Amino acid sequence: MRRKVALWALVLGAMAALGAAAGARTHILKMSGRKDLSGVKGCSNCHFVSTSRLAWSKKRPHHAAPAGLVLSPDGARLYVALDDTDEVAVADVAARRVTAKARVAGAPTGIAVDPTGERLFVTCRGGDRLAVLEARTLAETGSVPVGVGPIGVAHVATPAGGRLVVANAVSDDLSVISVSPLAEVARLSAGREPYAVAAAPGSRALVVSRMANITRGDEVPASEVTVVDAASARVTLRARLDSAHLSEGIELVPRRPWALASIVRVRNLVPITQVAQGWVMSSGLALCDPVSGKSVEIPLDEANAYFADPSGVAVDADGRRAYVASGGGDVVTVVDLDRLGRWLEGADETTRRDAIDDLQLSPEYVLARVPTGRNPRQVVLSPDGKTLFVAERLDDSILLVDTESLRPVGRIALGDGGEKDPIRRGERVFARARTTFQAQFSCRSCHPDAHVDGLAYDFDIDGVGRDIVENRSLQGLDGTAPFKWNGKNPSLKVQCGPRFAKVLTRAAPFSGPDLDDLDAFLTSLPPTRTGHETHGRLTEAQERGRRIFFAIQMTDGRPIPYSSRCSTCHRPPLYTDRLPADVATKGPFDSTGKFDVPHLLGVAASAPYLHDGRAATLEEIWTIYNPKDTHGITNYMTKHQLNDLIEFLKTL
Amino acid sequence: MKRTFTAASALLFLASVAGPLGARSGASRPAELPFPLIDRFESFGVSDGLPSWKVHCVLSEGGRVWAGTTKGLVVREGGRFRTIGPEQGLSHSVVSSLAVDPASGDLWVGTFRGLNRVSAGRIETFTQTSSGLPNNVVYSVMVAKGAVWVATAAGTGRLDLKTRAWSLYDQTNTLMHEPWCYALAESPDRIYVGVWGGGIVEHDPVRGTWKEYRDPDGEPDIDLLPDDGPVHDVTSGVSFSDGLLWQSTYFGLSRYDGSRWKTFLKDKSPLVSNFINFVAAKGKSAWICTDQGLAVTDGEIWATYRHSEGGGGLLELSRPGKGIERRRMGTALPNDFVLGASVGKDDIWLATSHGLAHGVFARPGTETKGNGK
Amino acid sequence: MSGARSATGALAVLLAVTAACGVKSVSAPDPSRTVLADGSRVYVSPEQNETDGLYPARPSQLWAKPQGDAPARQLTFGSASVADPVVLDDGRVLFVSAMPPSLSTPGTHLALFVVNSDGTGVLPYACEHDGAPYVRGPRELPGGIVAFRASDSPGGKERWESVLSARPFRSRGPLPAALVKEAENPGPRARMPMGRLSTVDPSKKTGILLCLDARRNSESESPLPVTRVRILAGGAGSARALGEVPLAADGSFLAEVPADVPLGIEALDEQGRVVRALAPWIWVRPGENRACIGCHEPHGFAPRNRRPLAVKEPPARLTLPATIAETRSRGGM
Repeated sequence: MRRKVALWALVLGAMAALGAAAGARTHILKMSGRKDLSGVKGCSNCHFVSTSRLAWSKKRPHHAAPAGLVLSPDGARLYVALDDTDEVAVADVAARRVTAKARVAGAPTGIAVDPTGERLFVTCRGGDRLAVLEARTLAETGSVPVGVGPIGVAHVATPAGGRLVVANAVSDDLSVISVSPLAEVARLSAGREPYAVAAAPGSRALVVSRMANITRGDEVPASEVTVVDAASARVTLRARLDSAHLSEGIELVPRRPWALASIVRVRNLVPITQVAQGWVMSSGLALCDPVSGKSVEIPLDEANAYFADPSGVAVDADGRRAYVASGGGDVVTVVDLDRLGRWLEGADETTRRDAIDDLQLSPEYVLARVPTGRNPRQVVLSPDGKTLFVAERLDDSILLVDTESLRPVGRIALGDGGEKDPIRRGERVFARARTTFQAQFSCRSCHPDAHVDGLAYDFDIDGVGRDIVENRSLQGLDGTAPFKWNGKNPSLKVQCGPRFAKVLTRAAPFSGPDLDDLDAFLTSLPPTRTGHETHGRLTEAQERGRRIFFAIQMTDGRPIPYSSRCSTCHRPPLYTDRLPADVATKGPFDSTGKFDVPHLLGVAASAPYLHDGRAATLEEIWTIYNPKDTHGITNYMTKHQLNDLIEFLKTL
Repeated sequence: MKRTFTAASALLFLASVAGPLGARSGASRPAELPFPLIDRFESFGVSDGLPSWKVHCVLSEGGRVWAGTTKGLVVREGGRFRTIGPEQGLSHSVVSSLAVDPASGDLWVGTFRGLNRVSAGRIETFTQTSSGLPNNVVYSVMVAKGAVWVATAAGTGRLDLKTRAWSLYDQTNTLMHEPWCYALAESPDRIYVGVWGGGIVEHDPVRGTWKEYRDPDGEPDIDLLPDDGPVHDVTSGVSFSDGLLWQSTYFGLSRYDGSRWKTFLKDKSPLVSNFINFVAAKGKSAWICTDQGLAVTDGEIWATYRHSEGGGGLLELSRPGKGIERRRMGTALPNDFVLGASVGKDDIWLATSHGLAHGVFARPGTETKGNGK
Repeated sequence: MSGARSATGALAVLLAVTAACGVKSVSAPDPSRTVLADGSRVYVSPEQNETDGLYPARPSQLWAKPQGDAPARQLTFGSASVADPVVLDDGRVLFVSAMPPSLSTPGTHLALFVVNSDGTGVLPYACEHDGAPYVRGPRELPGGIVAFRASDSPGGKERWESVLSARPFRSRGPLPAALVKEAENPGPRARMPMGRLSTVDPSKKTGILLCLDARRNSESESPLPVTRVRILAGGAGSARALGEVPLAADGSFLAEVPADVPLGIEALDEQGRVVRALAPWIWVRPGENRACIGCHEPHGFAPRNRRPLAVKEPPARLTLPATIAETRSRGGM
């Protein structure tokens, strides 16, 4: 009897689902005249969507993942910023254990110490502020607002007193802060996502930007090292790093005219026909001269092995060794700077230019690879140079490495590692490179923080030179299936499944449990932070823009057809109806003009736009690429109205 | 009797020597002048490295001189000129205006196809299609109160340097008569926009209000009633300093002290020409760039620099009740059609339609030097 | 020589070869080292006779036999015979074969090559132009070392040599003495090789060749004066020209070529003279997109980050002449 009931329930449920889908299609056909509705499964494409039911709205476990590290000047204490738990911890180095923690609101991320060791300076990337802590007690003694999303910070000694330079990753600028009195003295423009800061003699600070600039067409992307005179609060130099992105560490080399910045050399303009031979990307270091701005990029990878996602950099006091964490390769690469210097001296202009592509070069100067725990990111050296401290971000620990033997000698535990948390396990899958051929890259390599790198790629599966597509953010994507620009992947598990392995990683697909954890991690990510949060109150311009977005008629009263209204396809709360749409953006090398309607949450921080990234800014979507009102009816708008619309979109 | 005659003769003699045809050179600054005198001019042209003869605008800051030409932006550093044009990433070769952000040192460059930020060698461009810039034809740019202001052919734009938000102002949301904005100026608590055909609009950024100043005559060709308001609605330049707002037009000059206007016309004042391209206020005085030379005045005393008919330069100094004192100068402007000025403490740089000029102010008691570079 | 489609047979082949060379026999690697991640076993077929030479009409090729009843699949399609396959940790198959003689290497020169587990992506791995011209029996050792036997002549005195996987084209030298024992008896592999999903599309008969800059070469900085390339297909003695493809302004070309046949490339200058030639050796699998950096490209280099102009046009279609098509349709074993 029970079986009969279950069977009937199944049949009725299937009929209800089919009926719901059919009903929904009839409804949409009536509203819009649209017939291509195979993607419609029911009412939930447009209705009954609530962000409170999405995975990223739910509470999740937090972990003591180390974000920033700094040692006290005497090397006795290690201070660690724990962004996920809103804490700063202090550990006794000799005892190798945490002795105290203090709450610091706003996701403490970067940390620096003043030369006396009495004060700590902590960037709070969620609170857009710099906090000052008394080092002895970890009590917060001051706070100053800075730009949006501050990450890196360095203390610079100047004739005018101590200054801090803070890299504001979301607002793409730098804050120069006087320590006493604590105040921001200047806001200077940087590259895209300035990330790491290193102090340099002569009142200078060097800042490396994590992402390459937004490019148009077949332009070669480049990131930037910004040299700041902290005394005069002026940018004195911008050095270009060709085809470099994901730079998360920079350090000046004593005795040499270099700064070292970790880079990923990306090859987004080359069709991805293979992964072998560094075809997609490779990791390296940029040797940047902070006086001339010239740079040479050198590989850290090998011909048949890669050490993906280079991150933090530490250099010893003599300038003889550099240590570079490979976040995806779970190693620290040790570079002999004397050997590197000798190679550089003997290298002519062409050799230097081509060095980054020479995958057999690194044995000239790489001394060793020290295995670490998961996702090593920041590294600091003890003042005597004998111990290297490595933040193992996804193990919630700090690894101690003896620099003479180049062997791990201990760990400082910060948390339990989060093994039981599928989101944490999924983040590990996301960050590890060994699921790609020769461990060349990880998911993070193109999706730092699971966001975008702003580049377009040519996946050869659609034909070489065909269907070039822009990277899409993975933040805030729960509830926005299907995936892929052509909308062919109905779920994340399909998106990251065997086809992904075939097309991109050129290795075995993720295992079932890994895929489950990856799904848990990705769906837990809230939308990107853009720095345009409204806290519930729109400005006048944003409100005008909101009305334009939801307008059903033009300024002169003419109606806007249902299918041409912004809010039809970009339906809140996720600002997508999850259906394909043809907005007449098919290019000469595209096989289709129908693309999955992207969600708009965090859109302000997701440049460039449209499926191939041809629109460098939001404005260009309509000023250049909508001449015939095929992407919404917008040509009636004045510049005022378009500006207001953009201001509203920035708030999403 | 004899002594009186002798003294009178001496006085007459001295007067004759110091008269209109006196060949006295020398540009020392008598104590009563409210502005410095230019001692000599240096001229620079294509042969010195400028990309074109016509220079639209000039800005001197921090030891560097920037100039906007029809063929790009040029910078003079260490005595040498270097051009920055579209090949280096500038949005257009016709550079119309320049401004430096004192907070960061960044240079903002207005061109006929967009706005550029030049910062430590990197150029970032903003066009009307890629940003909230109202229009690509940028006539004037100014950095004030934490924002970049641009006067364009379709309104004035404001880019907040912290939030990166654009605001647009034109005839639809301000008192502007029309959207063609040509000039910008800043006072401690106001922004002034010179509107081409719309006089001047004054903006209070705190309250968000606007106030309009129009020529009350409404007569395009004459100043019917002097001192009743702006001399004309076609504003070519605005500048503010020390409580005084100056307006340049193609039909004369105006000055506003917050309650009273004063107008200056060629046939009613020592103003050398009503056709004024640009005005740069400094202290209580203003430097006036006309089509027939350069003038400086505090409204009472005037000095005008132009070519002499016989060749060389001519300084004409006019003081109330003292007539015009003319002095020959060994050097002159490269051209009397002056388009822009950047006034410093010890010198002035001038954009003309045939070259860039550097005017060195005289120190007290020094004699005029000859031509030199 | 006798051979068979099994590890034992391969061993027998190896022994026979070494016997022919007059050298002491060397243990073959553990059978686990010829097993791919999906359990398929890699072997060499068909049998070869000593008198066949390296470029017989039907050269020996690599095959992979899955577990169970599934048919074997062919992995290599070159014009030269192959031998001594081992599966690397990264999932590729390392084997011995020879590059066709060229201007720079006129005589026989055996070398190490790699190919993916689906036959795509064949590449030289080491020993292509340096050192003793006879190599065999490669094996992967811990620490990123690939060891192999080398001699200066067939039947000549052999020695253990090695390359570093970190720089295989610049590190050839004697195998450190401490590793000889390991090399002689490698034992079962410590971990399974990396898996890979095949990118072969059996529904297709062609693949794509993309060259980023046919003027770029390993010998000098100056670009070669190449204006077009001629693609050839077919084995030794039976190669036919398929057609010519002009280079784009940046030196790139894109061509659709027949799959599973040896392909050669001649780089031609404006007058049609051959500037560089690669006798038929490489191949593309059905649906494979195969790319290279240049003409006789520098080994171990990643590409420069530039969009090749050739991809802005459809690929030049070069079809297989009837004679070669007939030969191919008779197939291997």
